[in-house]
Amino acid sequence: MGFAKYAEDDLSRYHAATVIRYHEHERLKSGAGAGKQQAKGTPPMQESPGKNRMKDFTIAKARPLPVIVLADASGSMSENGKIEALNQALKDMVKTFASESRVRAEIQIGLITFGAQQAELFVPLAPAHQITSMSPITASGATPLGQALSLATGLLEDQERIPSRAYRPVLVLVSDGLPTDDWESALACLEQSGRASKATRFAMAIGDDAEESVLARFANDREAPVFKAHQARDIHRFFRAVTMSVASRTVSVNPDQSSGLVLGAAPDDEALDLDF
Amino acid sequence: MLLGTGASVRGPAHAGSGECNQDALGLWGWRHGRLAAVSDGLGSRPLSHIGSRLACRSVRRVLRTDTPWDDPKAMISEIYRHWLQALPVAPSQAPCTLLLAACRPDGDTLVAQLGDGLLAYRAGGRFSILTPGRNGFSNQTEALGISRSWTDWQVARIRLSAPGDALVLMTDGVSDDLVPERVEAFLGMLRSECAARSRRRSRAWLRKQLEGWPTPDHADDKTIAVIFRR
Repeated sequence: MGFAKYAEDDLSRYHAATVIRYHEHERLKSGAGAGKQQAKGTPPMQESPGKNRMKDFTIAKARPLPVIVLADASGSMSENGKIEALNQALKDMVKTFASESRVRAEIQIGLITFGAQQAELFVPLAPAHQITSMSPITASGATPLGQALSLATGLLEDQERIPSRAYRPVLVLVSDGLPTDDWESALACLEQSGRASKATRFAMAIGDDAEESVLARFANDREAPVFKAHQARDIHRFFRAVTMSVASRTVSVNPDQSSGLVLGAAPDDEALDLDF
Repeated sequence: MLLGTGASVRGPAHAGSGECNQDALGLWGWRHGRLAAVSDGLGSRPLSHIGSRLACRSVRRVLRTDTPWDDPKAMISEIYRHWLQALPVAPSQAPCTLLLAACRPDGDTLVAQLGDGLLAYRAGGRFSILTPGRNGFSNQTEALGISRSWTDWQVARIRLSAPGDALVLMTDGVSDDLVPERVEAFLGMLRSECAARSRRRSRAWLRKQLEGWPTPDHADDKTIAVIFRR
């Protein structure tokens, strides 16, 4: 076999292989082989153009970012319009989260109130945009903070309600008095638990009667020490700062990294002349 | 015959902020078998993209030499040491997770994982997941540069012997959005889709799938590597 013959043979072999490959490719692309494949019980390899195969295997919901508020609903909160200010601040926070369109997470809100001898899950954890109305908190009775902390720990530990794909949750404690139950062991339990201990914890002390040492032990964010509210408008400022912090986390590159609390100045028109 | 393919794409969060992909992917032919490494730089650290790239490179450099195959602890220690030496910055500034798979041509395979992500395989016709269940929240992970403990590593020796056997390595940008019960079907789908294409086309297909990730508001970088027996 001369060189020309050899080269020709090589070329024709290459040419034939290319033709077969092209033919096979076109056959798959046009779906001609699909019926045959389906008859064997296997799905067709080629989908319609633009179809994303990942859709069948992925979760169709954004990652949640839970925000759980522990709100003091003891009798002392009924004085000087504190509970009214708290109700309004919570409502504003839910509204802001629900209308926030830039976020890369589903912000969920849960509300635990503690007063009247017991703590209760006042608003179960739900996406902010699904909370259409929130009945106002009424203040009465003692300050069972320990029960509220246990309830929060249970909620954070529950992988059904807060899956492991969720971003690090935020716990917000708002109180104006001295706890009336065994809060220390409940806090220790929260701090020692596997998941609940990883939540970012913010705290606000309302009025001069608040036991700041309790709240300081609760807060774990170095960039956000206990905030002291002396007036009702300070409650709004605190919740606005929490809202900003959570919202900035959801649009940042690192949603698990706390950005602390930046407390803006309260506008003058919001100033209520309250003495507490 | 063992084949491998993979892709890595920058997530919308990094694309939006103009930052680079902090994931890294390495996929090589290795002693007539396949070698794959996937690494996710921790987003909270400024230079973690350097860490993740060097982690993949360290896997290749160490395994290219005659590292003892029967002593995974020694091998992983060597990879870790190589990574520490190669890093131009402090390890705490560039921490990253690492998932690796070293497959010999006969299917004898070593898989290892430190930190987040998912490593799943079908070996000898049986499906398994190497990654343990997570007890925490997303992006809280062990990593090179943070962990010093051998117990933080998940290691297994498997054999990709049966036709259709395959393994997949992925960062948490992919694994956190997967339906847990569908991981086996996901591996099967990846295998069949990649086996039906040439290496170049399967890489392009994989990249396209990651770029069009269907989970709403997803943010993370995404990296995936697949090795399968044809």
